[in-house]
Amino acid sequence: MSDLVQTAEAKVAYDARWKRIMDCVALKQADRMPVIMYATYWLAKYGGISYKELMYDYEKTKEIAERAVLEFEPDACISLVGASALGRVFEATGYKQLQWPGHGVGDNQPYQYLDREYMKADEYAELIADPTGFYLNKYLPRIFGAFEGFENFPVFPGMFYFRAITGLRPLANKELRKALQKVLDAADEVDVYMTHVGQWNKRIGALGFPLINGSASGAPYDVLADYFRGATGMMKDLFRHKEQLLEAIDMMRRNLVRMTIANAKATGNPIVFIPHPLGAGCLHVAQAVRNLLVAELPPDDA
Amino acid sequence: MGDMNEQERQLVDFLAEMQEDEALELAKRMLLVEGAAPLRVLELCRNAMDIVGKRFEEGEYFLPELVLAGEMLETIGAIAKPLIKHAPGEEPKKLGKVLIGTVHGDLHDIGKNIVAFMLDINGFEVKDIGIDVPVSSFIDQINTWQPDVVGLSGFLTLAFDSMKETITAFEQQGMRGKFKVMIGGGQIDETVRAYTGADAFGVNAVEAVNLCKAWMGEAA
Repeated sequence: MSDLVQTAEAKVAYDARWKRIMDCVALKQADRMPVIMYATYWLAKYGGISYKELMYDYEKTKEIAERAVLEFEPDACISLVGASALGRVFEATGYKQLQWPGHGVGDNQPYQYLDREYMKADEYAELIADPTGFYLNKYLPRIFGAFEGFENFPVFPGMFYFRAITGLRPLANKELRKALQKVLDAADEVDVYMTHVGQWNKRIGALGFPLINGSASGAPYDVLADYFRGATGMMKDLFRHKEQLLEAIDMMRRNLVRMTIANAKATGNPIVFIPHPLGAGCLHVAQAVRNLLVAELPPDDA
Repeated sequence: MGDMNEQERQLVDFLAEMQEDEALELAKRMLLVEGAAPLRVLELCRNAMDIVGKRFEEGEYFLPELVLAGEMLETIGAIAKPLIKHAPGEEPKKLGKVLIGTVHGDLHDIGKNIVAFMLDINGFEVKDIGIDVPVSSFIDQINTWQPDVVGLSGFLTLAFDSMKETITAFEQQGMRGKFKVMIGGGQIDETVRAYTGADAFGVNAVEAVNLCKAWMGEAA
């Protein structure tokens, strides 16, 4: 699949589609309601391949995704390849938060998130005090097999002078070095994946179709509930660790905002996908969060 | 429960108001220091759960309250149950046996766990056979355990087909008329119930309890 230069005709189509979307964003009357293509495993059914192939075969997935966009002519689409062809990066990183076709579920079943406590209830203080350290020593080894061994990664805050030198010794540890190599290898696969995704995104733009979002982010409560504490753990934290949870949300909010702005600038696309599964998608939990947490926030944050 | 004394009413209030520390401290004191009858304490817990369930139905409480209530009752139950001394043949009668599991292809279990817990504290004997349960496992368990109700749980849309397949297999085995089948999960509705061939569906744990009570001839 080669690079493609956008023709004048494709540019007109691209601009018209983008304007339709941005008119809606600006609360102006658009010429019609924009239609966005958001597909993952449907592409496999459409292209006549297995879910597993869709996740593992970059070239096939790029070809099928392009064919689908050209046939249905949406006003925009998500990065269809980015959202689908994740098998190799999951495998390279030893990703533990999902089961996917060939890894825990059948070749034609969708991936499923494993709702677990990836952070324990008594670890809030640690996360809040040193988020980077918590990620390196605890969180990343728990969610990626490749990071197993990083439990011994040096803790840098507090190091100084000779201590800054001797503090490097854990990096000579064989297990940690093996883990470092695995992470570097995984990063190579992530680079391959991102290159394919970037090529497809660029090509689909050249064909006249904008991406509806350039990057993705998260809502602080949802990120902590879904990916750290697990749904059940978080429901209990609403009662048992309310103050620490509010502090952690504040920490997560600052870091998410910083990351989101940087990513949006890097992609040049101002639209960011922010899934909100627990805060809004799940009515029961959303109501409880409002009752138990939002009442405690300053009006601006609430 | 108009005959509750002040301390008993306090325990029910602590539980219903989600005051976990206070509730557990009081329950422990009653059971371990003051020698309160364990069955009486468990009855107070059920009373508190009735209030929690009612508030849930009325939209005042949500899933987090059910989960925390479950934790509190589990803790108190673990202290109270070993203290119960039954005379031979006087074990408390269970309302019925409910076999529950998440159908094959689906790994979700939060809702199922809450349903299993609520059925348990409401007097049912519950056997939870986990997630991603193959049709054959349901059939084996039904043959050996003889439940009154089979609960099939699922959150993904693919669970509709797994539920239908499971219930069809019950029919093929000639066992379908021997128990009731209820289904539940985030997206289950009457259309799905009709598609799968289940007897009933519930959208939350309280409904599951009400269904089972009705089938067992108990007032919901």
